[in-house]
Amino acid sequence: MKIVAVTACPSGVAHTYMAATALKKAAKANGAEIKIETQGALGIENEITEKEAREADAVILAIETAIAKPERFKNKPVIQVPVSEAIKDADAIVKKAISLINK
Amino acid sequence: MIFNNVLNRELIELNMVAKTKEEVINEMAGMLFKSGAITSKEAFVNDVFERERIGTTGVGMGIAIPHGRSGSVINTSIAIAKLKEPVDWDSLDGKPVSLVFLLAVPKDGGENIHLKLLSGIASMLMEEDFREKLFNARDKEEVLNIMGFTKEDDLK
Repeated sequence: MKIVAVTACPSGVAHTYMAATALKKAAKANGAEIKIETQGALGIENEITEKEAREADAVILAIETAIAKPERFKNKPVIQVPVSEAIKDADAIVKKAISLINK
Repeated sequence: MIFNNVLNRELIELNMVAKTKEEVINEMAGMLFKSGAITSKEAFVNDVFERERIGTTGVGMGIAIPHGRSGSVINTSIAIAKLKEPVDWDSLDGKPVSLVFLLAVPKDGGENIHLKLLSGIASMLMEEDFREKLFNARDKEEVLNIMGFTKEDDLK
């Protein structure tokens, strides 16, 4: 299963990157493939292409600010959470994404 | 790698005595001001609290990572404080905080290389090993080493 995720926080300095690391670790622990795009002070990094978005089984948006290019994920199963939630309990979010896929 | 003045001994305090989050941020902003990273302590502290109002920077695990993108910042910098007694930070996991990283970033984001360094440190804080080492560090030298700053970098 393939998950794509975007993390973004208000100042784009810390939470964006902490959430990305937390989601990456959680996906690994749950045996899911994940690609995480960060939208922070460094701009868009590790960008999810249109093709990757299309092929993803689920989308996690851990965001607390408007993100660029949200239209990539329309018609996809999306889990949207505050970025802090991904730092606090990334495991639960990834598990939720997996259960969405397995439905 | 050259880190300029992003982090140095002046910006580390291992026995900070403070009772509140406000006191901690004020003390640490003072360290940043003294090292020449910011032009105004007051303006910087205001911007940091502005960010705190949006959502807590107490990320759990006893760590807080307050930050301000502020017009008062000249040099992207990081100040580190270990608190003698943990303080309440309204953390994500409800636990009090005893290790604080205060990030100072210029309003326009500053140099990418510095931002990358800060975001890298934020990411590393999600690693248990890294946290453990920092919590157990006994002197500033050790903190610099754990953070990947060698003696030579510090002297530049």
